Amino acid sequence: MGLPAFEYYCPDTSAELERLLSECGGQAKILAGGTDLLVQIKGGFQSPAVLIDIGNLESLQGISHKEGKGTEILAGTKIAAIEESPLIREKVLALYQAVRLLGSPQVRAMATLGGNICNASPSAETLPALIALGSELTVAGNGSERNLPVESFFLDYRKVDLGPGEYLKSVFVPEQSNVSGSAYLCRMLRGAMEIDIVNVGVWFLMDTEGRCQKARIALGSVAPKPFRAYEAEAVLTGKPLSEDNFQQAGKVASSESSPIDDIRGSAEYRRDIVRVMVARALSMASKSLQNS
Amino acid sequence: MKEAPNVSGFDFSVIGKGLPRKDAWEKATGAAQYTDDLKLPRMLVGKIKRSPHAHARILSIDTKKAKALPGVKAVLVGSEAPNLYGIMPQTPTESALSIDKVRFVGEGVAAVAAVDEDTASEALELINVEYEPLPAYLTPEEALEDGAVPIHEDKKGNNIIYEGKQSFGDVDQALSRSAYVLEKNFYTQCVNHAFMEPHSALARFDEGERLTLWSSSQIPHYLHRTLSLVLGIPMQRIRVILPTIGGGFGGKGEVASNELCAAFLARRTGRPVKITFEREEVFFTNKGRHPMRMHIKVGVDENGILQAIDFDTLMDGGAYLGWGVVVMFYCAAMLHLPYKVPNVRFHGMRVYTNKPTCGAMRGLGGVQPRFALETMLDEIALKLDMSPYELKRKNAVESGHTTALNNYVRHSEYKKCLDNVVKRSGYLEKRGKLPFGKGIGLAGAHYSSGTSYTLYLAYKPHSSALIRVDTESGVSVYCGAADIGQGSDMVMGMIAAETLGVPYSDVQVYSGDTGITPFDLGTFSSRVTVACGHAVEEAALEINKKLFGVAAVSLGVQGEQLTSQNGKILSQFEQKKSMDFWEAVGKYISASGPLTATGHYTPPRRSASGKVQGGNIGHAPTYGFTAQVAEVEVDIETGEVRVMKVTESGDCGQAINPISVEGQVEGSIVMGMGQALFEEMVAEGDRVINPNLHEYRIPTIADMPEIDTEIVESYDPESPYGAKECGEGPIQPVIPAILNAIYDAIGVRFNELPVTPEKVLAALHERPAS
Ligand SMILES: Cc1cc2nc3c(=O)[nH]c(=O)nc-3n(C[C@H](O)[C@H](O)[C@H](O)COP(=O)(O)OP(=O)(O)OC[C@H]3O[C@@H](n4cnc5c(N)ncnc54)[C@H](O)[C@@H]3O)c2cc1C
Repeated sequence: MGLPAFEYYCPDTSAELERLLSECGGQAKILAGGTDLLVQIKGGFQSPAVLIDIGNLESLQGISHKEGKGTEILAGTKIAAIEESPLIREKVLALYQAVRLLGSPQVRAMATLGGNICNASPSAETLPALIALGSELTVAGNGSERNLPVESFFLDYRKVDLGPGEYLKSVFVPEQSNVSGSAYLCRMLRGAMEIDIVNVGVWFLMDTEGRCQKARIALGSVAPKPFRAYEAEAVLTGKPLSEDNFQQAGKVASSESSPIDDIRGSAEYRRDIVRVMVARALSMASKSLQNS
Repeated sequence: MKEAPNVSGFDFSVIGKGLPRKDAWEKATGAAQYTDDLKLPRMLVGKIKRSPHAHARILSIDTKKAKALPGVKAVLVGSEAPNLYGIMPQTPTESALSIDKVRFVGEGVAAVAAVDEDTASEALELINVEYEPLPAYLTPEEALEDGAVPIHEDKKGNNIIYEGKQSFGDVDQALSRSAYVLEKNFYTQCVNHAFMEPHSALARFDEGERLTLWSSSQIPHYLHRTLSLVLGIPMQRIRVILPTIGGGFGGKGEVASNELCAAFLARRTGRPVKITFEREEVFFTNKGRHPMRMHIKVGVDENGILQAIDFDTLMDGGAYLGWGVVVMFYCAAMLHLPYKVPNVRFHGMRVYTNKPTCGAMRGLGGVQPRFALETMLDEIALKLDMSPYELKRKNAVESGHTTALNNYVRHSEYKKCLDNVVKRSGYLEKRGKLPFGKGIGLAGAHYSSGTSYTLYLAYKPHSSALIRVDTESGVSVYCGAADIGQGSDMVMGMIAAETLGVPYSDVQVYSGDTGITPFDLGTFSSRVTVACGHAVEEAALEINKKLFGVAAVSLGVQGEQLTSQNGKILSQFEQKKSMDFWEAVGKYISASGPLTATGHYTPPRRSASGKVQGGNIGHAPTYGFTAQVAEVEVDIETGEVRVMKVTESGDCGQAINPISVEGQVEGSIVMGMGQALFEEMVAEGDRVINPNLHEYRIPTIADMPEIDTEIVESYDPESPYGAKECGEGPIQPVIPAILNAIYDAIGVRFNELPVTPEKVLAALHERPAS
């Protein structure tokens, strides 16, 4: 298969996973769906000495919902399972809008949510949606667990906040109120199987006077890591939802992004598209609000 | 079941019926055996080491360490395989591995055979090649500069591979007298075929130096010849076999280095050797469509009647010759159709550059000029306040037309295609009337249905077939045609079944095996249905003649009055005088031994009028025609172009299997759309940076437009069952139809491909606010 040699473990329990992780220290990599990792190993970009396959861990798979609290997705849950879940479609629509654009059916059948997050590609599909929805991560390992907001998990270009012996356990998306709206949108050079030119997750909460009380706008593909466009969020806060305000927020978000030139498009084009996509995502989110 | 319209008046029982493809089930379930699926006892895996330099002299190659690696059975370098070859035998430029110089990044310099893939890859790392870099020329313009180092050190001393000139009529005078002349520049990018199955070859040497090569090839015969030439063994000791093939589109229409290296390594090790390319190697091997710069003038009179075309092109050939000169003269010939053009001038230069070689790709020679000319005619028509449909219809060729180049169009339903597609799509009602951002565009085209001349002077028939009929094994059709996925086996089987009057299920086709099937030139130039179809029909008629002799005596009827139908041989005049087909076969064999017959075909020869200009390239026995209407939506904020619908009307003569025709047309449309909007081999510095199907974007299912195809009523009386090509014509109008639709949508004409969202947005920004 053209892969360098590595040791391979496939634990059956979380306890065994934790033991293996702490024994191997930094030498081990978790193998989830392998749709990023194996590609990277084959391409010679990394060569971990140990692979720990979490595919057997039922304790890392599943989607559950607590009324009034939110939705928990375990890290090893397949993207296809998220895509097909009626619960996700009902409760976390923006995530559904994101996962259905990830790769192809074959890729989604293998790929996991945890893999998408931990691989931390700046263009990863689920991240802007999760950030916009105010999600929290649970990181476990070394006998303990800690929670953190998803956006603070990304330290730098493809660097995540995982210490030795730690792994991502789950993602928690808080319950959306009926006066909040959200949406995910991306722009690709073709209809599928693409690294996005830009992807956008937006969320806002209305106050009783019909004004935007709080907003989150998260952008991917236009900076070394996914980030929140705080200034653009501020444009919306305290104002009524209107196309003008959406356009204005798009403009500001565009100036907050720092894209590069690459084979998919110039930095200038990307900035232009950030403006358009942010405005469109906001408009889409406000429609979801009106419809509910 | 889909049926093709029938205007011949014959009552066909197999031809024209849409039969599901015999190989579809096998391919869909994974049962089909491609070359890479084949395994032989003691088989070794071969791999090729590739150059990191675009242009460099090879000073030395050290293979000692690689040879010493356990599991490595042989290492081959270019100097051990020095015989040059090329698809144009007169001017061979290529070798199995580069000999003393590399000419593009990714060129093979050494090959190894080892017990497994990992060992072979490791061995490649241990081969040490010392290079002396030379200046690399990445565009034809750079390669043509004074003082540029010749990429090939031949007599000419420059990088012009070939300069082609043709002139028919008086172009200058015609242009000066034209009421309106449009002059424009165009550029088309480098695109690759992106067939699903990468090249794969498996070689085995048997006792007495007999070579068997299984390969994913379109050209078993040329491969056979080349193996003989390069390996230095007689053709009689070589057998080429084609397993199931996953597409070619011209890219497997030349011998590839894996085929030659596998054979050399098998000979050296005495063990079977297989070499399958990685996708990256497919891009390095390329042989895709030539990037072309085109400078064109088109003149018309005040009624929009074409007066002259003046065409000048600079073709980026890449590092080797390949099909290059043929592509150039095909391009020249394409200017003469599908419209009547009295005065035509062609000037072309194909130039070497330090990039993967360009070659033949579906619709070769036609796609680039057709893109330019069909968009120019659109522009001219609108300038003259005329519908582009009207202008094209006025100029369209009809049956019996002879071009200035002396191509003879024996049959054309092009006007019918235009009428049909315009009517079905509502083109006249929509063009110019859709809201900003939505548009509709029309384009038409033709393509050669075969080629009148071989690549080397051979006077033997271009196609031949053998039919054996036996009560035990049924009807066996043997033909050398290469079924590369286009479905030629099925077409040949249907032609045999129709002629013999038996159901298609009684026929088995054996093809693409130089050991058991008679000679055929191969799959290119959309030649197989007409050429091999003729041979099969002739062989089947000969079988009938033999059987009619038996039946005539049994039935007491004159042989000439008999016919084969529905499994019976019967009198045309007295239906009850009939006998069972298989009974006649049994009687024939009992009396006379095996029942076999052969047929063959050579296209009518024609030379160019007056002085031969361009080696007779571009002459074809007959031509297919097509017209298409594309409808697009342009996202004016992001520049994204979405093709919403393509309506197509095709003249492929009588469709033998309309389902297969539909598949060819739909595939052509998607492929053309890829070149129009998405695809490009992008070079950064001296290397291709997207040699994979992730960054080289072919359309996905999510990009598919709605496609509505229709076969117009058509029958070419001189073709087997009236049939013509349908595999390369339909890609010709796709790009201009889409670009004309973009113009209709946003008022911008794009002259460079691909039309990316970024280009669209930039153009929209530049547009004066209205
Ligand atoms: C053809 C193709 C198309 C693709 N298209 C897209 C696309 O459109 N959008 C997109 O976002 N991505 C795309 N991807 C990338 C990839 O499929 C996704 O990022 C996927 O979600 C990765 O999940 P995985 O389970 O396969 O991760 P793996 O490859 O198994 O792991 C990825 C990384 O995360 C680490 N990891 C995984 N799980 C954990 C955990 N629980 N705790 C700690 N570390 C962990 C691994 O060690 C590794 O470093 C594509 C990939 C391919 C091959």
